[in-house]
Amino acid sequence: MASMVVDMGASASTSDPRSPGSSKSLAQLVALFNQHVNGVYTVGYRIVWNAADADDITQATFLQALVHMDKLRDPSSERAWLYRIAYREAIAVLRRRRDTPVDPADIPEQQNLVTPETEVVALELAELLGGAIERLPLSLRAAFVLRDVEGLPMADVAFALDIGESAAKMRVHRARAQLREELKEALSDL
Amino acid sequence: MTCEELGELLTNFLEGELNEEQTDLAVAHLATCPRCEAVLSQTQTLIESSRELGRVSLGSDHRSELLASILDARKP
Repeated sequence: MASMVVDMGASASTSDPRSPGSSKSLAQLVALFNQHVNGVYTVGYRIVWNAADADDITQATFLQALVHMDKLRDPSSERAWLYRIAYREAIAVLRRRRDTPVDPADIPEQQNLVTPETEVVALELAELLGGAIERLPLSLRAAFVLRDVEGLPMADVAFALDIGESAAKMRVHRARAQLREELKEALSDL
Repeated sequence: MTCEELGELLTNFLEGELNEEQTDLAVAHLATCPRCEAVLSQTQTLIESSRELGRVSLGSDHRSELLASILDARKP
């Protein structure tokens, strides 16, 4: 369970091995990136539904991780810690979108991230599932992505969303109910 | 246990967080209620499918570009 407290204070000097510029920090960043980039990208993408924004969210998440690496006390909680940052970055993206008038002609088509090797049946379900997740209200979408796409324990979902565990569970419950209703036929065929 | 009660406890049931008595009641209800059994089955399929199909696996080029952009962005 993610139990660390993240102090978002100023970073240490560059001569400090814990500083963002130190080779040790960079090595830790690369290791963190290699282990968690797919998950961080997935959380960002499944919330904002835009590949370019997901890239920005991923970059911002790992940059923040680099700056605050020394604040991460429990390595077993690093995934929840990263997803918490990614979620906040995704919310910031959505707020900027809301505040910025967008020409519908500029909105890119939903990126199809299913690989060519995906079987036809799985491809169809992936597309249906992706669309259904996108239609979830934001609060339910984030909880569902963290719990059922990324497999985060419920306590870590609560930490990432900065809510209580009961609230996290309720959001996951409601998300599953809405998705089940929308995908009833497709789920029953499997 | 009624269908409505099981529906409300479904997530707790799937998370393994019901007590022994509640679990027994839920299992007994599922054994005799095709509708609730279908809901449970669909939910399990939804979770399994989401885990398998929902995650993005970035290609190696994309990963390299992202890492490079992160390392570049940290430079003063």
